[in-house]
Amino acid sequence: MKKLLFFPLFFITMLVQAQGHFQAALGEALTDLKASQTPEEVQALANKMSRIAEAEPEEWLPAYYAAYAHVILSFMLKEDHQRDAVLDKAQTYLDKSLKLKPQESELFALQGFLHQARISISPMSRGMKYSGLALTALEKAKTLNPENPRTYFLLGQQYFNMPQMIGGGKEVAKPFLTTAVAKFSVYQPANPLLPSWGQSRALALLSKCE
Amino acid sequence: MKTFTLLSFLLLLTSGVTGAQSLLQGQVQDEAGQPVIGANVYLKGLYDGASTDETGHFKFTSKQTGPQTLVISFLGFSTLEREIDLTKTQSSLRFTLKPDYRQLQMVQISAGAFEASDEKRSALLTSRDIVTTAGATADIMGAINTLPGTQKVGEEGKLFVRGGDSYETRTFIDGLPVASPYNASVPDVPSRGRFSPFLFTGMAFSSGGYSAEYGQALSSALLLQSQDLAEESQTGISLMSVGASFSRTKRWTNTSLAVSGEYNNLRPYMALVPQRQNWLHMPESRAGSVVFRQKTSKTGMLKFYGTYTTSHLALKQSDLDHPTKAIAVDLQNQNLFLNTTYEEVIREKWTMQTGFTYTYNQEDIAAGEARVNTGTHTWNAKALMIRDLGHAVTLRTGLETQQKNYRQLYAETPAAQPRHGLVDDQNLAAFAEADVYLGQKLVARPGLRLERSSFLNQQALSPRLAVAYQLHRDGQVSFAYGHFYQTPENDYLKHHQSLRFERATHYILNYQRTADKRTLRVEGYYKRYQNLVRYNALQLQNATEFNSHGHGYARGVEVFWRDQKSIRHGDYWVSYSLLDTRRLYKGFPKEARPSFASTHNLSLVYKQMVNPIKTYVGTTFSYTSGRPYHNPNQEGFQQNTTKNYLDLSLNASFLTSIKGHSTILHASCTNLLGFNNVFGYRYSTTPDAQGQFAVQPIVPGAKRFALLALLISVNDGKEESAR
Repeated sequence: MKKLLFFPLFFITMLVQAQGHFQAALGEALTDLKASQTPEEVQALANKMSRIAEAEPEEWLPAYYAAYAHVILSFMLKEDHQRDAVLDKAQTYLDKSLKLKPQESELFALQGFLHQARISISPMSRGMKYSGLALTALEKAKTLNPENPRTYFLLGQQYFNMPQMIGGGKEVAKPFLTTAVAKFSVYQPANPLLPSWGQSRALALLSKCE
Repeated sequence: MKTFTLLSFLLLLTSGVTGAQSLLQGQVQDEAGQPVIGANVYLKGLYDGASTDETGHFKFTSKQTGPQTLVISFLGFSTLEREIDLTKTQSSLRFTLKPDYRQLQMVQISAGAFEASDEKRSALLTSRDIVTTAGATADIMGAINTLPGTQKVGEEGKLFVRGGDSYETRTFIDGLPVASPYNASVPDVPSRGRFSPFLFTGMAFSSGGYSAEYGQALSSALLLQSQDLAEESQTGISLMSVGASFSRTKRWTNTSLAVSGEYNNLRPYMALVPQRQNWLHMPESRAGSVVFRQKTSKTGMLKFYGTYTTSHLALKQSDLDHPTKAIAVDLQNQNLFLNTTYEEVIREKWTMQTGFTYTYNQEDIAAGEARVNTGTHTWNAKALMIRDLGHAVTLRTGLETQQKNYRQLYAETPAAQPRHGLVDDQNLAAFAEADVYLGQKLVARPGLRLERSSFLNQQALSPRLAVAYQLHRDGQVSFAYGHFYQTPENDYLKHHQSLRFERATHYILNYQRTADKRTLRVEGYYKRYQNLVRYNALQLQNATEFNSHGHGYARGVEVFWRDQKSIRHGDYWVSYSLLDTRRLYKGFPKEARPSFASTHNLSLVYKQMVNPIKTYVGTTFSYTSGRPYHNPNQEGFQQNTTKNYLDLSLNASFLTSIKGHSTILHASCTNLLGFNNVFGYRYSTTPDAQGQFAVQPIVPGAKRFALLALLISVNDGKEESAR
């Protein structure tokens, strides 16, 4: 009887350990990412997130952060082809996490962010296509969770960078950023590992709209 | 109590406190011995790993024991996997990563190729450039005509490439040939491309030396790549001074469907702007189309495009042989075009592309009493397999078949016995081609294409080769060579005399330098023609004997310069082509320069965003040196030259949004400065009483052509605000 009790306990322990393991590792990488400055540092952390994502194929968060770190990295690189290659990698991780959690607002918000990164490589030639894609993704993010502040921040950022004549500009962006700032101030992630980025950038953009 | 102890022990064990640690360290470098910085080195399926530092070194510890797989990966390199045994002590490890050339794409084959793409970095143009080129009036062929290698032939409106006739350029949509790429027209009324530039995301214009995948084109291939899934659901309305169109696009997650209708009529415009031609029925056309896209899997895509067009025009053309009696020419055209393609990655490294296209083209011409009714059915099927071999070779093999049934009925008068023209031809082709990266700086593309025509009862084997070598960081040289075969036109085949494939051999040398949004491209070429069709009269209608004994050559130098940097919000390109060509073909009594070939062609395209008025302005200046023509009143052949052709076109697009819906107001006008352009001269076929042949210049229908358009796209669900 006692022996029978062991095995389930043993496995539960293992499971809890594994869970704790990925959360601890991810949390540590996230803290480092916030403090990182150079592309080399971000590359190392994107690598680390990727390792966790590869080792935890059933968890959406590691893949989400692996994608996020690569998007951040893309903005820090100089060569256009490198930036595209890094974004291709980000997209594969994002696709993985979308498969695991297809109704997650954060994933569509990140998809919108990824499309914005594509636009920034060549706004003139890509603007038309990727603006539409970014807006579609962000609208979906908003539908899935109207309280997600990142959606409004990214919508604001989208319109902020869009030329006035095709429906962008500061005036259009401002209400989105105001909403974003308001929603950031009340937003409490259910656990510290859930996405919480974007607040300071939203504030900075809003101040540029004034 | 005993249980508790055991449990604690187990907990301790799983926590790994008691586990021994192994140290893994080493260095990662590339083939040149340079350290690879930022590579991810880790144990497969585990967190344990590290990134390489500035010296390419990595170092990490693992509590794992036994055999493990060490993975070394970095962008632009093939991922390396190595089995290691952690029970043993690890000495310092050394790894050399091999570059993934396909992923790097450092060197590109650029000889003869001009690409317009929104995605590829190597592209020199984007599809937007095509739409916004002044003078092109949103016609793909018109915009391509500002690129080097093309000669402007105003009365035709078609593409003439490097001394080649217009039929020598073939248009392909998603790899499948288009049987009738231009709107039907009568002599001296220029035609336009049938397809809207908005249907495509990418275009590649090749003025020679193209891939073995494409056949039945002596001079040039224009490759159009259609869009994938429509981005969003929307309704599009366009109102133009020459017509209107309406489209509805619906997008689902993996499916999109677009339906559109179009009506064009030049009557109101031509009533307003005096025309030199004597129109009986001004050009009128109706078109409907369906675009369907289905994403069948993560990598699979099914595309269908179908369009049906009818058009009608009629005008009185003066007959120089009977000056008192102008001839009424009436043309009715129906064109059905269906194109389906399916692409899927079958297995890792195996991609399959298949396609099917069907065209039915019916042309009914009445010229005076004569009637010509021509109907052509064309079927095409193609299957292509792409296979990646190792990290440096991509192999493409495929099969293609074309079935053509051509029927023509010609009656000189209603009472006369009609003559039948009949051509049934089946063309079978097989091709194989490989992209081989020989190191980081050199890529070669050898290819072979075998074709057989049942009508000609002949087969032809075309070898092709293209090589590109990177000279320095921004510049590369590229060379292309190949044999190209094309079945003669139906107008000759219908006489059922012994003809062969027409043949061209291309040699192309190209230098290209791209840096900092500036591109310089210089290309020289030599092209030899063999087995061109010849016949025994100056005019085709009088010919009775046809053979394949014609020949010719074309050679030239072209320069292209594009600068998107120097002018803020501005962009310009200059292209210049120098052409020397002579040929003996058709009814030529001796070798001569054909009428479509001009020695110098220059285009200057300039575009500027004018932010204060939210307007995108484009202007195109074109210069074409005089073209030869034959004057029967003088000795010799093709002995005269027309005056130079000059044009300055302007267009402006005002971009705005009405209630958040993107709206574009577009205006364009050709030949702003009102140059009197003459394309050539037509002479009577019989001399008058004084022994002189009457003459008439070939001129545009009107000096200028102006277009006004309003394009509105209403996006579904755009009204939502920041709530």
